[in-house]
Amino acid sequence: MTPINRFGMESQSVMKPGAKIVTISSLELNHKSNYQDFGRYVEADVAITGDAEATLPALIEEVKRALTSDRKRALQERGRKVAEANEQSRKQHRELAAIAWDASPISTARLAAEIWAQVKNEDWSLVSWDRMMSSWPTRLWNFSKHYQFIGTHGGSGIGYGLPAAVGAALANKKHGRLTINIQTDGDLCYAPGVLWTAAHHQIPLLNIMHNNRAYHEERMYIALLGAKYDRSPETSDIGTALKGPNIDYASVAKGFGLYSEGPIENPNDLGPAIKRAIERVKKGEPVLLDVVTQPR
Amino acid sequence: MWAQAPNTANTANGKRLFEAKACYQCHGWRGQGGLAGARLAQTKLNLQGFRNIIRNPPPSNMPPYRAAVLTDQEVADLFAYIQSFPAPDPVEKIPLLKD
Repeated sequence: MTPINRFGMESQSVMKPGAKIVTISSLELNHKSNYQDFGRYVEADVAITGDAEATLPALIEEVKRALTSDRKRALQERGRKVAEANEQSRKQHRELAAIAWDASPISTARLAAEIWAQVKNEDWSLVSWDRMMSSWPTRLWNFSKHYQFIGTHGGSGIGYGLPAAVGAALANKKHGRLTINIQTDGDLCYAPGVLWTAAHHQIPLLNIMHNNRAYHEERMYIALLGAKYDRSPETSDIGTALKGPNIDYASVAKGFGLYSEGPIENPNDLGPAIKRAIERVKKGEPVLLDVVTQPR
Repeated sequence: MWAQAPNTANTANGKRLFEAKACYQCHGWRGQGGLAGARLAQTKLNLQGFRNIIRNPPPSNMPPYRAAVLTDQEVADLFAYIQSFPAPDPVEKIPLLKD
Protein backbone atom coordinates (compact mmCIF):
# COMPACT_ATOMS: atom_id res chain seq x y z
CA MET A 1 0.00 0.00 0.00
CA THR A 2 1.30 3.44 -0.91
CA PRO A 3 0.33 6.38 1.32
CA ILE A 4 -1.30 9.09 -0.79
CA ASN A 5 -1.04 12.01 1.57
CA ARG A 6 0.99 13.31 4.47
CA PHE A 7 -1.53 12.22 7.07
CA GLY A 8 -0.83 8.59 6.22
CA MET A 9 -4.46 7.70 6.78
CA GLU A 10 -5.27 6.99 3.17
CA SER A 11 -3.40 4.62 0.95
CA GLN A 12 -3.90 2.80 -2.30
CA SER A 13 -2.49 -0.40 -3.73
CA VAL A 14 -0.31 -0.07 -6.80
CA MET A 15 -0.39 -3.81 -7.48
CA LYS A 16 -2.25 -5.46 -10.33
CA PRO A 17 -5.46 -6.97 -8.91
CA GLY A 18 -4.99 -10.64 -8.11
CA ALA A 19 -1.18 -10.49 -8.15
CA LYS A 20 0.47 -12.63 -5.48
CA ILE A 21 3.08 -10.89 -3.35
CA VAL A 22 5.96 -12.84 -1.81
CA THR A 23 8.55 -10.89 0.15
CA ILE A 24 12.02 -11.89 1.36
CA SER A 25 13.39 -9.37 3.81
CA SER A 26 15.05 -8.89 7.15
CA LEU A 27 12.84 -5.88 7.80
CA GLU A 28 10.60 -7.85 10.14
CA LEU A 29 13.57 -8.32 12.47
CA ASN A 30 14.10 -4.58 12.67
CA HIS A 31 10.69 -3.59 14.02
CA LYS A 32 10.99 -2.29 17.53
CA SER A 33 9.12 0.58 19.12
CA ASN A 34 9.03 3.22 16.42
CA TYR A 35 5.36 4.11 15.85
CA GLN A 36 6.05 4.30 12.14
CA ASP A 37 6.69 0.55 12.05
CA PHE A 38 3.28 -0.57 13.14
CA GLY A 39 0.54 -1.13 10.64
CA ARG A 40 2.87 -0.37 7.75
CA TYR A 41 3.71 -3.90 6.72
CA VAL A 42 3.53 -4.84 3.06
CA GLU A 43 0.33 -6.75 2.42
CA ALA A 44 2.15 -9.89 1.36
CA ASP A 45 0.62 -13.29 0.63
CA VAL A 46 3.81 -14.91 1.88
CA ALA A 47 6.29 -12.93 3.99
CA ILE A 48 9.62 -14.73 4.36
CA THR A 49 12.08 -13.38 6.90
CA GLY A 50 15.53 -13.80 5.42
CA ASP A 51 18.55 -12.19 3.81
CA ALA A 52 17.49 -10.74 0.45
CA GLU A 53 21.08 -10.28 -0.75
CA ALA A 54 21.94 -13.91 -0.04
CA THR A 55 18.67 -15.19 -1.51
CA LEU A 56 18.44 -13.25 -4.74
CA PRO A 57 21.18 -14.94 -6.83
CA ALA A 58 19.73 -18.42 -6.23
CA LEU A 59 16.19 -17.14 -6.74
CA ILE A 60 17.09 -15.55 -10.07
CA GLU A 61 18.61 -18.81 -11.32
CA GLU A 62 15.54 -20.76 -10.22
CA VAL A 63 13.21 -18.33 -12.00
CA LYS A 64 15.32 -18.57 -15.16
CA ARG A 65 15.03 -22.38 -15.10
CA ALA A 66 11.26 -22.17 -14.73
CA LEU A 67 10.81 -19.86 -17.73
CA THR A 68 9.26 -21.27 -20.87
CA SER A 69 10.32 -19.87 -24.24
CA ASP A 70 6.96 -18.05 -24.50
CA ARG A 71 7.53 -16.39 -21.16
CA LYS A 72 11.08 -15.46 -22.16
CA ARG A 73 9.75 -13.72 -25.26
CA ALA A 74 7.10 -11.94 -23.18
CA LEU A 75 9.71 -10.77 -20.71
CA GLN A 76 12.01 -9.53 -23.46
CA GLU A 77 9.11 -7.53 -24.88
CA ARG A 78 8.31 -6.15 -21.46
CA GLY A 79 11.99 -5.26 -20.98
CA ARG A 80 11.99 -3.38 -24.27
CA LYS A 81 8.94 -1.38 -23.21
CA VAL A 82 10.42 -0.62 -19.79
CA ALA A 83 13.68 0.56 -21.40
CA GLU A 84 11.74 2.86 -23.74
CA ALA A 85 9.67 4.23 -20.87
CA ASN A 86 12.84 4.77 -18.85
CA GLU A 87 14.51 6.68 -21.67
CA GLN A 88 11.39 8.80 -22.14
CA SER A 89 11.24 9.45 -18.41
CA ARG A 90 14.91 10.52 -18.26
CA LYS A 91 14.34 12.90 -21.16
CA GLN A 92 11.40 14.42 -19.31
CA HIS A 93 13.44 14.75 -16.11
CA ARG A 94 16.15 16.66 -17.97
CA GLU A 95 13.55 19.02 -19.40
CA LEU A 96 12.12 19.64 -15.94
CA ALA A 97 15.62 20.16 -14.53
CA ALA A 98 16.12 23.01 -17.00
CA ILE A 99 13.41 25.07 -15.27
CA ALA A 100 14.94 27.43 -12.70
CA TRP A 101 18.41 26.35 -13.87
CA ASP A 102 19.92 29.77 -13.13
CA ALA A 103 17.76 30.54 -10.09
CA SER A 104 18.99 31.61 -6.68
CA PRO A 105 18.27 30.02 -4.23
CA ILE A 106 19.77 27.21 -6.26
CA SER A 107 17.36 24.61 -7.62
CA THR A 108 17.78 21.10 -6.30
CA ALA A 109 17.95 19.81 -9.88
CA ARG A 110 20.89 22.13 -10.60
CA LEU A 111 22.58 21.02 -7.38
CA ALA A 112 22.23 17.35 -8.36
CA ALA A 113 23.46 17.97 -11.91
CA GLU A 114 26.50 19.94 -10.72
CA ILE A 115 27.49 17.19 -8.27
CA TRP A 116 27.01 14.50 -10.92
CA ALA A 117 29.28 16.31 -13.36
CA GLN A 118 32.10 16.15 -10.80
CA VAL A 119 31.58 12.61 -9.47
CA LYS A 120 30.38 10.53 -12.42
CA ASN A 121 33.88 9.31 -13.30
CA GLU A 122 34.71 8.46 -9.67
CA ASP A 123 33.89 5.35 -7.62
CA TRP A 124 31.16 7.18 -5.71
CA SER A 125 28.62 6.38 -3.03
CA LEU A 126 25.64 8.59 -2.18
CA VAL A 127 24.90 8.11 1.52
CA SER A 128 21.88 10.38 1.96
CA TRP A 129 18.20 10.05 1.20
CA ASP A 130 17.32 12.20 -1.81
CA ARG A 131 13.56 12.55 -1.40
CA MET A 132 13.92 15.97 0.25
CA MET A 133 15.44 17.26 -2.97
CA SER A 134 12.73 15.82 -5.19
CA SER A 135 14.90 12.73 -5.79
CA TRP A 136 16.98 14.57 -8.39
CA PRO A 137 20.03 12.31 -7.96
CA THR A 138 17.83 9.28 -8.60
CA ARG A 139 16.34 11.03 -11.62
CA LEU A 140 19.57 12.35 -13.18
CA TRP A 141 22.41 10.11 -12.04
CA ASN A 142 23.30 6.63 -13.25
CA PHE A 143 23.13 4.19 -10.33
CA SER A 144 24.68 0.84 -11.24
CA LYS A 145 26.21 -0.51 -8.01
CA HIS A 146 24.50 -1.49 -4.79
CA TYR A 147 26.72 0.70 -2.61
CA GLN A 148 25.87 3.83 -4.56
CA PHE A 149 22.72 4.42 -2.53
CA ILE A 150 22.27 3.92 1.18
CA GLY A 151 18.48 3.90 1.12
CA THR A 152 16.07 5.71 3.37
CA HIS A 153 16.34 6.64 7.02
CA GLY A 154 15.49 4.51 10.00
CA GLY A 155 13.68 7.35 11.74
CA SER A 156 12.46 10.53 10.08
CA GLY A 157 12.83 13.90 11.76
CA ILE A 158 15.36 12.92 14.42
CA GLY A 159 18.61 13.95 12.79
CA TYR A 160 19.44 10.59 11.24
CA GLY A 161 21.14 11.93 8.14
CA LEU A 162 24.52 13.25 9.24
CA PRO A 163 25.46 10.49 11.73
CA ALA A 164 24.39 7.86 9.18
CA ALA A 165 26.49 9.55 6.51
CA VAL A 166 29.58 9.59 8.72
CA GLY A 167 29.06 5.90 9.51
CA ALA A 168 28.65 5.05 5.84
CA ALA A 169 31.72 7.11 4.97
CA LEU A 170 33.71 5.14 7.53
CA ALA A 171 32.53 1.89 5.91
CA ASN A 172 33.48 3.23 2.47
CA LYS A 173 36.90 4.45 3.56
CA LYS A 174 38.69 1.13 3.20
CA HIS A 175 37.30 0.79 -0.34
CA GLY A 176 38.58 4.23 -1.33
CA ARG A 177 35.14 5.33 -2.46
CA LEU A 178 34.15 8.97 -2.79
CA THR A 179 31.36 9.32 -0.25
CA ILE A 180 28.76 12.02 -0.91
CA ASN A 181 26.28 13.28 1.66
CA ILE A 182 23.70 15.82 0.47
CA GLN A 183 22.83 17.12 3.91
CA THR A 184 19.55 18.80 4.82
CA ASP A 185 19.95 21.80 7.13
CA GLY A 186 17.37 21.00 9.78
CA ASP A 187 18.66 17.44 10.09
CA LEU A 188 22.21 18.69 10.73
CA CYS A 189 21.03 20.79 13.66
CA TYR A 190 20.17 17.68 15.69
CA ALA A 191 23.64 16.19 16.04
CA PRO A 192 26.26 18.49 14.51
CA GLY A 193 28.92 17.08 16.85
CA VAL A 194 29.38 14.14 14.52
CA LEU A 195 31.26 16.54 12.24
CA TRP A 196 33.96 16.60 14.91
CA THR A 197 33.96 12.79 14.92
CA ALA A 198 34.58 12.83 11.15
CA ALA A 199 37.38 15.38 11.54
CA HIS A 200 38.95 13.62 14.52
CA HIS A 201 39.06 10.26 12.78
CA GLN A 202 39.84 11.76 9.35
CA ILE A 203 36.89 10.13 7.63
CA PRO A 204 36.77 11.24 3.99
CA LEU A 205 33.30 12.64 3.33
CA LEU A 206 31.91 15.23 0.92
CA ASN A 207 29.07 17.00 2.75
CA ILE A 208 27.04 19.31 0.53
CA MET A 209 24.35 21.27 2.33
CA HIS A 210 20.83 21.33 0.92
CA ASN A 211 20.28 24.47 2.95
CA ASN A 212 16.70 25.56 2.30
CA ARG A 213 16.58 27.43 5.60
CA ALA A 214 13.51 25.76 7.06
CA TYR A 215 11.89 22.61 8.32
CA HIS A 216 9.71 22.65 5.19
CA GLU A 217 8.22 19.22 5.80
CA GLU A 218 6.69 20.49 9.01
CA ARG A 219 5.64 23.79 7.44
CA MET A 220 3.90 21.93 4.61
CA TYR A 221 2.12 19.80 7.13
CA ILE A 222 0.93 22.87 9.05
CA ALA A 223 -0.31 24.50 5.82
CA LEU A 224 -2.21 21.36 4.85
CA LEU A 225 -3.76 20.87 8.26
CA GLY A 226 -4.62 24.56 8.66
CA ALA A 227 -6.31 24.73 5.26
CA LYS A 228 -8.81 22.11 6.36
CA TYR A 229 -10.02 24.70 8.88
CA ASP A 230 -9.72 27.72 6.54
CA ARG A 231 -6.65 29.00 8.32
CA SER A 232 -4.16 30.92 6.22
CA PRO A 233 -0.61 29.49 6.09
CA GLU A 234 0.90 32.97 6.48
CA THR A 235 2.20 32.25 9.97
CA SER A 236 3.24 28.68 9.27
CA ASP A 237 6.89 29.74 9.30
CA ILE A 238 6.77 30.28 13.06
CA GLY A 239 8.91 27.56 14.58
CA THR A 240 9.66 26.04 11.20
CA ALA A 241 11.83 28.59 9.37
CA LEU A 242 15.56 28.62 10.15
CA LYS A 243 16.13 32.32 9.50
CA GLY A 244 16.77 35.46 11.55
CA PRO A 245 19.67 34.76 11.74
CA ASN A 246 20.53 32.46 8.87
CA ILE A 247 22.70 29.59 10.09
CA ASP A 248 26.27 29.78 8.76
CA TYR A 249 26.98 26.09 8.25
CA ALA A 250 30.43 26.73 6.78
CA SER A 251 31.44 28.38 10.06
CA VAL A 252 29.79 25.59 12.06
CA ALA A 253 31.79 22.99 10.13
CA LYS A 254 34.98 25.01 10.43
CA GLY A 255 34.47 25.13 14.17
CA PHE A 256 34.38 21.35 14.25
CA GLY A 257 37.64 21.18 12.28
CA LEU A 258 36.43 20.69 8.70
CA TYR A 259 37.45 22.47 5.53
CA SER A 260 34.35 24.33 4.40
CA GLU A 261 33.02 26.87 1.92
CA GLY A 262 29.82 28.85 1.67
CA PRO A 263 27.15 29.99 1.73
CA ILE A 264 27.05 29.40 -2.04
CA GLU A 265 24.10 31.21 -3.61
CA ASN A 266 25.18 31.61 -7.23
CA PRO A 267 24.69 28.34 -9.17
CA ASN A 268 27.67 29.17 -11.37
CA ASP A 269 29.93 28.96 -8.28
CA LEU A 270 28.88 25.40 -7.52
CA GLY A 271 30.98 23.39 -9.97
CA PRO A 272 34.36 24.91 -9.03
CA ALA A 273 33.54 24.65 -5.30
CA ILE A 274 32.60 20.96 -5.59
CA LYS A 275 35.80 20.31 -7.52
CA ARG A 276 37.91 21.96 -4.81
CA ALA A 277 36.05 20.00 -2.14
CA ILE A 278 36.60 16.66 -3.87
CA GLU A 279 40.34 17.32 -4.02
CA ARG A 280 40.33 17.67 -0.22
CA VAL A 281 38.20 14.54 0.26
CA LYS A 282 40.57 12.53 -1.89
CA LYS A 283 43.34 13.49 0.51
CA GLY A 284 41.33 11.86 3.30
CA GLU A 285 39.41 14.78 4.81
CA PRO A 286 35.77 15.44 5.57
CA VAL A 287 34.60 18.73 3.99
CA LEU A 288 31.40 20.73 3.93
CA LEU A 289 29.97 23.06 1.29
CA ASP A 290 27.04 25.21 2.38
CA VAL A 291 24.67 25.59 -0.60
CA VAL A 292 21.56 27.75 -0.29
CA THR A 293 18.80 25.88 -2.07
CA GLN A 294 15.14 25.90 -3.02
CA PRO A 295 12.86 24.01 -0.62
CA ARG A 296 12.52 20.79 -2.65
CA MET B 1 -13.50 31.55 -18.75
CA TRP B 2 -10.12 33.22 -19.29
CA ALA B 3 -7.20 31.55 -21.00
CA GLN B 4 -5.05 34.33 -19.59
CA ALA B 5 -5.28 36.18 -16.31
CA PRO B 6 -7.92 38.93 -16.43
CA ASN B 7 -6.75 42.49 -16.99
CA THR B 8 -7.57 43.32 -13.39
CA ALA B 9 -5.04 40.76 -12.09
CA ASN B 10 -2.19 42.18 -10.04
CA THR B 11 1.05 40.33 -10.77
CA ALA B 12 2.93 42.07 -7.94
CA ASN B 13 0.31 40.97 -5.45
CA GLY B 14 0.50 37.47 -6.94
CA LYS B 15 4.22 37.44 -6.24
CA ARG B 16 3.59 38.49 -2.65
CA LEU B 17 0.95 35.79 -2.22
CA PHE B 18 3.20 33.12 -3.77
CA GLU B 19 5.53 33.60 -0.82
CA ALA B 20 3.00 34.48 1.90
CA LYS B 21 0.74 31.50 1.17
CA ALA B 22 3.81 29.27 1.04
CA CYS B 23 3.18 28.13 -2.56
CA TYR B 24 6.93 28.24 -3.26
CA GLN B 25 7.62 25.52 -0.71
CA CYS B 26 6.22 22.70 -2.83
CA HIS B 27 6.18 24.30 -6.28
CA GLY B 28 9.56 26.08 -6.16
CA TRP B 29 10.40 29.79 -6.44
CA ARG B 30 10.17 29.60 -10.25
CA GLY B 31 7.24 27.17 -10.26
CA GLN B 32 9.52 24.36 -11.38
CA GLY B 33 7.69 21.80 -9.26
CA GLY B 34 9.12 18.68 -7.69
CA LEU B 35 8.00 15.61 -5.80
CA ALA B 36 6.12 17.77 -3.29
CA GLY B 37 4.20 19.86 -5.82
CA ALA B 38 3.27 20.08 -9.49
CA ARG B 39 5.11 22.23 -12.02
CA LEU B 40 3.43 25.62 -12.41
CA ALA B 41 5.84 27.23 -14.87
CA GLN B 42 4.37 27.26 -18.38
CA THR B 43 1.14 25.81 -17.07
CA LYS B 44 -1.43 24.73 -19.62
CA LEU B 45 -4.25 25.43 -17.20
CA ASN B 46 -6.56 28.39 -17.70
CA LEU B 47 -7.67 30.51 -14.76
CA GLN B 48 -10.78 28.44 -14.10
CA GLY B 49 -8.81 25.18 -14.08
CA PHE B 50 -6.20 26.75 -11.83
CA ARG B 51 -8.87 27.95 -9.40
CA ASN B 52 -10.59 24.55 -9.41
CA ILE B 53 -7.39 22.82 -8.34
CA ILE B 54 -6.73 25.37 -5.60
CA ARG B 55 -10.28 25.00 -4.25
CA ASN B 56 -10.58 21.22 -4.68
CA PRO B 57 -7.19 19.61 -5.18
CA PRO B 58 -7.01 15.93 -6.14
CA PRO B 59 -5.88 13.54 -3.36
CA SER B 60 -2.39 14.79 -2.60
CA ASN B 61 -0.56 17.04 -0.15
CA MET B 62 -2.00 20.17 -1.78
CA PRO B 63 -3.91 22.22 0.82
CA PRO B 64 -7.49 23.02 -0.25
CA TYR B 65 -7.52 26.83 -0.16
CA ARG B 66 -11.09 28.08 -0.06
CA ALA B 67 -12.16 31.73 -0.44
CA ALA B 68 -11.52 32.43 3.26
CA VAL B 69 -7.83 31.82 2.61
CA LEU B 70 -7.55 32.98 -1.03
CA THR B 71 -10.23 35.13 -2.66
CA ASP B 72 -11.04 34.74 -6.35
CA GLN B 73 -9.19 38.00 -7.02
CA GLU B 74 -6.13 36.69 -5.18
CA VAL B 75 -6.28 33.45 -7.19
CA ALA B 76 -6.31 35.59 -10.35
CA ASP B 77 -3.32 37.57 -9.05
CA LEU B 78 -1.44 34.34 -8.33
CA PHE B 79 -2.29 33.02 -11.79
CA ALA B 80 -0.95 36.21 -13.37
CA TYR B 81 2.29 35.84 -11.43
CA ILE B 82 2.68 32.20 -12.39
CA GLN B 83 2.27 33.12 -16.04
CA SER B 84 5.18 35.54 -15.69
CA PHE B 85 7.71 32.76 -14.95
CA PRO B 86 10.41 32.75 -17.63
CA ALA B 87 10.56 29.86 -20.10
CA PRO B 88 13.60 27.63 -19.49
CA ASP B 89 16.43 27.26 -21.96
CA PRO B 90 16.16 24.13 -24.10
CA VAL B 91 18.06 21.17 -22.64
CA GLU B 92 20.37 21.21 -25.67
CA LYS B 93 21.76 24.55 -24.51
CA ILE B 94 22.63 23.25 -21.02
CA PRO B 95 25.78 21.09 -21.24
CA LEU B 96 25.25 19.40 -17.86
CA LEU B 97 21.85 18.09 -18.96
CA LYS B 98 22.96 16.66 -22.27
CA ASP B 99 24.16 13.28 -21.00
